[in-house]
Amino acid sequence: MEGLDPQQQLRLAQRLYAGLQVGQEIGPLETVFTEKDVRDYAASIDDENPWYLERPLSGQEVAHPAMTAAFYVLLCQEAWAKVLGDAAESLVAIHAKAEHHYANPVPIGKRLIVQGKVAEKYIRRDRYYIVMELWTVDEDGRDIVRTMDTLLLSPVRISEKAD
Amino acid sequence: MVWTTREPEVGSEITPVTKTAKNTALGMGIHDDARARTLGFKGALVPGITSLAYVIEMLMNLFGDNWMTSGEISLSFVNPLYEGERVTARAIVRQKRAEDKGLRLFLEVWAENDEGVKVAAGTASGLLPQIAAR
Repeated sequence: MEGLDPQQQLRLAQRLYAGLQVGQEIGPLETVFTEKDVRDYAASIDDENPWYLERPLSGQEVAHPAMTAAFYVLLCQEAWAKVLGDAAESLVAIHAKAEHHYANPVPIGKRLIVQGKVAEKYIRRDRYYIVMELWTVDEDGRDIVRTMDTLLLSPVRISEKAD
Repeated sequence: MVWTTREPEVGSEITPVTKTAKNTALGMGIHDDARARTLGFKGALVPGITSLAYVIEMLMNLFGDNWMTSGEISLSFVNPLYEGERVTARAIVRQKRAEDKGLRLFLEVWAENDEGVKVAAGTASGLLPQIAAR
């Protein structure tokens, strides 16, 4: 895949950092995890434990707790596209930190609604960071998981900017 | 109810989980070889959430279903993890606290490669499963 050079990456990160405001709402997005999704995910992380599908919790089939994290990527991409347009697809951000608080099992076959806000943005070690606070509830309004995800918007140092 | 689950001591290590790291977001952003190399990495990075999933598997083995209703984790992705590297999720018990719903363990958690370099590090806690004595 054709990539932007480091200077172009840095300029994109700078635009996104300036364009995202603390408190800005993100989402909502909805999804439904199917049994196939759960099996595919378990295969992708090589997790053969019977916690999912084969050994339901309280009679309810559940998905891997970390499955919702993959969904957050879509939410972030949507938020970034509002600032950067099509260029958002070229941004190379890096997940720096994840904080997850699980409240209920991730259900299969139920609507999940994820939304959140920009919780914080800061410059540290000469780089741009964004913190996204996200929460997931199911169609019955039950809390599933609350997260704080820190994203490094570009590995390129700000002081390396050419212009 | 009494505790019948073997209760780990403070300072003891939890049974680790070892995986061969897979790039679960192949071709996307920093998970694309060409893009990652342009930015100075030796190849595509394995997503942080994949390291997180490996650590959570270890924690599910300890806390069981309780993890899904009481688990908390804070994990920083501190070094690159590349496709095909062996990575081991590890944890040490740092503290225990009795709560209304059971005994909560506080752990130091991390994931390291075969050279012992930590690729992710942080803390986690969860309620130990409670099983009725026979």
